[in-house]
Amino acid sequence: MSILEMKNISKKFGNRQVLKNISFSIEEGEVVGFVGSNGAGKTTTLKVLANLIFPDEGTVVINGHNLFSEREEALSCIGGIIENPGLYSFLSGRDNLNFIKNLRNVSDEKMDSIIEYIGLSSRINDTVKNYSLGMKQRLALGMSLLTDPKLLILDEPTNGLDPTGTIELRNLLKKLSKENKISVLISSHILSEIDKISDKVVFIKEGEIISIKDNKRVTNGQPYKMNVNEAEKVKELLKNCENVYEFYFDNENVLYVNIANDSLNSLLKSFVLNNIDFSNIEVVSGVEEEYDKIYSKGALK
Amino acid sequence: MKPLIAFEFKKFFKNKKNLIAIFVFILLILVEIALCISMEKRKTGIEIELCNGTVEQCKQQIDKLKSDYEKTDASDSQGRNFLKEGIDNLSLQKRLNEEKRNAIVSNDWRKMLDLDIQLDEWSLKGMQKSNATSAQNPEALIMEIKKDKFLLKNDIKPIYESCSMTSYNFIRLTSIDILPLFLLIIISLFSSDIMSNENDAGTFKVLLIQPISRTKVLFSKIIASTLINISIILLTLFGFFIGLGITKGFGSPKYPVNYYLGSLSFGYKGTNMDSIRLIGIGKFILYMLPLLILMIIALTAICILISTIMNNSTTAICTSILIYITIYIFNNQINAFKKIAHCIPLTYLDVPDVLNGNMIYKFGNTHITLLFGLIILIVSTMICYFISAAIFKKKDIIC
Repeated sequence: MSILEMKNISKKFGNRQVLKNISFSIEEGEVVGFVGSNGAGKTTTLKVLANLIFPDEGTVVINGHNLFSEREEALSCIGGIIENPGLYSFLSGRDNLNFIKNLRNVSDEKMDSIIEYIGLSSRINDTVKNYSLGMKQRLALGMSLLTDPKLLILDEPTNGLDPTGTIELRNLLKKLSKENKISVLISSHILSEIDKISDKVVFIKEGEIISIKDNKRVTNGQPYKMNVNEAEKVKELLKNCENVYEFYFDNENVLYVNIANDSLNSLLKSFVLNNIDFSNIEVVSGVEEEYDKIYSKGALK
Repeated sequence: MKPLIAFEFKKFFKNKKNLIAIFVFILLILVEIALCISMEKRKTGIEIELCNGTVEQCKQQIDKLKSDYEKTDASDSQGRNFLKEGIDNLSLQKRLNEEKRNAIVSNDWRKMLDLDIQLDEWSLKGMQKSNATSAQNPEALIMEIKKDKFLLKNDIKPIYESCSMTSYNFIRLTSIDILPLFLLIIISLFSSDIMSNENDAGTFKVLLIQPISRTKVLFSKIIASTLINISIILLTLFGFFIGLGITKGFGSPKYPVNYYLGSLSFGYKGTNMDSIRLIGIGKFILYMLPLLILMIIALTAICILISTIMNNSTTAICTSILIYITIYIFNNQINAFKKIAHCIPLTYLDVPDVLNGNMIYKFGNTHITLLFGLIILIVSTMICYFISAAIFKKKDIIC
């Protein structure tokens, strides 16, 4: 079941087209990575989803409710942190949580469990301006989780988190998606994090979705980068290989190939048998590979 | 909407800027009170000196007239009668002023009132007799005599209206002296950042992601801000009213003040002082309240509109103050504005002057009445709310 369906969203700021026909969907319990360079339109897209920015065209349906005609119903299904944790810094952490609690009729027990969950029990009565960025991120996440959202929108959630915090967040998001069936849309510059956590990755460039990659398949396989000679011969060979999921050439002789786990040896053997020279073999992250493909030369599949 | 309104109250009272503004507001009133009390103390001395001066002047003039009388030929009966009449008049003035001085020294206010009435009637008679133009308006003198007679009849102790700090007079004076300018500044500080502050702090993202309509968010802020402004201003005034009542006395609610008879019409009813009548100060303050409350509501609405348009809270506050002060100055100084002053909400800031008809004289605009003021303030409030809602409903939150 689709929790989010975004169709043909376009937005202009003045004469600048910031979003062009953005369309993608998120299934229940799915973690979707949202990747793009600075100014690509990631945050604007997330703001459209949160109804902070009104698109010029297109529709957004959240859990079956149109965001623009059934705003309240649609927004009752989402929670999130966009850009930075929007917190009332002159109030305490508890005051911030209390605001959402009172607004959304959340029980005291639920709030207490969230405070414990985000690990802020000892500092919850402190003023937010005395919190570190990591603590603010955790508090904002707690505020988002307080209402049991079906879709969690997280924009750069690892900003300000230390390595332990990053690992904890990753595990938390995995748990939320698998156990609580919460869908997560996460944008980050840290491609390895996106790769580790995402079931699907959406790549955006200059306001356009360039690629939507099924990361389940990528994580099942293993991508490599290597130099080869005779590109045409390699293409012919790889097309007929069973264990090769996908491949493309970045340069005339730089090959990116995604193959089944433990099948590198058999691939190299077949290169040797076909008199293909190879060198500089490197393991490449799946998302990183796709990112590199989009932001350097473009796909050659 | 209740949790939103309650949260706005909480945010307001946790914000240091607002607490400092309240403190400054209270401090300014205290300064005004201190100045008025010291002026009131000096007033008695000044009045005694004034009486002494008049007595001395009368003495000199009597001596001069007496010597002229003696020098005048006995056959010039007309000239001698004229001089005698002058001596009698000056002797009466001298005697009345001597008695008034003694009454002030012995704090006998009834006697003082009686003497004031006699002196004013004597002056009025002189004016009518000589038919000369005087610095004092005879109509104002008649009103003064009426007022003094009323005080005497009702056994009400007179006060120095320009500085007495009895509770009722304090409310009237504050509404004229410091409230107009302070309303502009304090409401700008309290309300101009109610929307733009959320933008600055990035908290709109938390607020607007909640399943509540934007109209509800805006109106919660409007309700909270209006209630906060009204309660802070009225409670502060009420607090001082009680405090001064206990320390300096409440004064009589029946104390007569001028009230413009055309207040509840759209235009000027009378042609002169006939259109002014005396009403009790308590009643006058009660009449002031609706206009004052509506003024606070209208100023809040204008500030919220500015706050909705602006994205930065400092810019919003500065813009509000600048707009208000510019309009206030233009309104008071430029003649072209005076013709349309009745349609500008800020004209009605000096609430007591609207009620006593002074605004009509000040602006030369006969439409500045209580009724017109109420209508203009209600209409401008509605327009501001309507525009704010229309803008906010479609506004992209870029921060």
